[in-house]
Amino acid sequence: MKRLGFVAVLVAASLALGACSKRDGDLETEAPAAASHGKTACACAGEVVVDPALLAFLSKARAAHHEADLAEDAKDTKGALAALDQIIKGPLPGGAPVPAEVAEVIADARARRADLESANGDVASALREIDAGLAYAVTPTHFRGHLFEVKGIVIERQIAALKEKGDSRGVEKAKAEAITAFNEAIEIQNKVIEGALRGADDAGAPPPR
Amino acid sequence: MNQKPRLRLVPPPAAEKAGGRDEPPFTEEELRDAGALRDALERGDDPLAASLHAAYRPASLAEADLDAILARALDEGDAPPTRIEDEAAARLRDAIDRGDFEGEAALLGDLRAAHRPAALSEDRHEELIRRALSSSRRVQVSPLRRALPRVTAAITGVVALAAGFALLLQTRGFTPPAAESVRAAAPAALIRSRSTDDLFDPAEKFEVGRSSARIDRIAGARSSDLRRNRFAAWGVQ
Repeated sequence: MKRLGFVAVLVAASLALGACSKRDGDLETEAPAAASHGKTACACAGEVVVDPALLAFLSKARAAHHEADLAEDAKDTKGALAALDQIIKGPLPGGAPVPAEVAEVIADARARRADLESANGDVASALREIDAGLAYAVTPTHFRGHLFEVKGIVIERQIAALKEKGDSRGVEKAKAEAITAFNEAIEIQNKVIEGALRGADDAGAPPPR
Repeated sequence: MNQKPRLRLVPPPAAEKAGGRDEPPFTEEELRDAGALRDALERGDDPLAASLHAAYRPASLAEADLDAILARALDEGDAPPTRIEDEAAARLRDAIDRGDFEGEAALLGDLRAAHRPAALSEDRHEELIRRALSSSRRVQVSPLRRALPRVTAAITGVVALAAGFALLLQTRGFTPPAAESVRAAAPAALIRSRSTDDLFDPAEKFEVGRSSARIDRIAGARSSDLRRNRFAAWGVQ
């Protein structure tokens, strides 16, 4: 009985010491914990930091795109669309509004879906994908420009279908829409280039020739 | 000239050992068993002999037994017992009267013991205690074995104490002062979520069919950012 008491006291003492050290250790883990929630462990209060949830989403998107590649290689358009659907319909990190990376990845996934839908002959679904993607890519970025570019390609495919049907009025109307979309894409890409040049000037880089 | 082989009978080795007889002499146990079997045959209560006898020369069934069997076959409620049942009942009654709960009455003895266990006699009680004490005295424990649990307990306790103390020193006493200052400054260095546009050449448009390459680049860049954020949060520059 005495022995048991002695061991109990020793174990209790060591547990108490361990608890003290754990308490100090918690201070160290606070920052990563905050970072893992993407909240404000920094001076950038209210802003979202790069955190594990964001990276998990990006990894998922990466896997889905590669899965879609394999499906496309096998001429399985439906399989490719289903793979990309996982990016759009799954949970999104960061709350509302979603982090910039998430918005851009969704916009790009929508653009790819639009391309696949139109190649499969479903122009209406493709244009809906474009509109949904543009809701995520609202500022002039590569992603927004890419969406307009794909929109132009989708309408080009529509034109081919209209030509087959002999719908000359429809063809003319679609051509105008395609040109508008391509012009929009060019304008956005110009803005992207100008923005990049301004950034380079601000950083003290030599002016462009 | 061809002669026929001549054969002769020879006794087996066992018979030679028994002085030329066919079998060795009967043992005491065999003689005792033979006597018991003979008595049982004379009494007519050897089951195998009774079965053989009944098969060879079956006796006629008594009138009362026939009635009893027929009554049971016709499912009459109060069928009388047969002669064998009467005899078995008598044997059981005698055994109960004698207090002899062996053989057929063993189950009855067990039931009685379960319902009303008899008190242990004084002598039997003393005998059991004496036997238990003598067997415990026979177990000799070496001094080393007696000390082993205490030594094990002491070593375990000391190791546990040392581990706890080491953990305390690791997190409190030996933290370099420089790391403390870095830790305080670290939060400001966390990398924020932002557009991925800067990962791509502004002079090159996005190609259709290159989505996987783009997401590869984005995921790779943000993976690197997350690693930096973790180091910054831990106070590592």
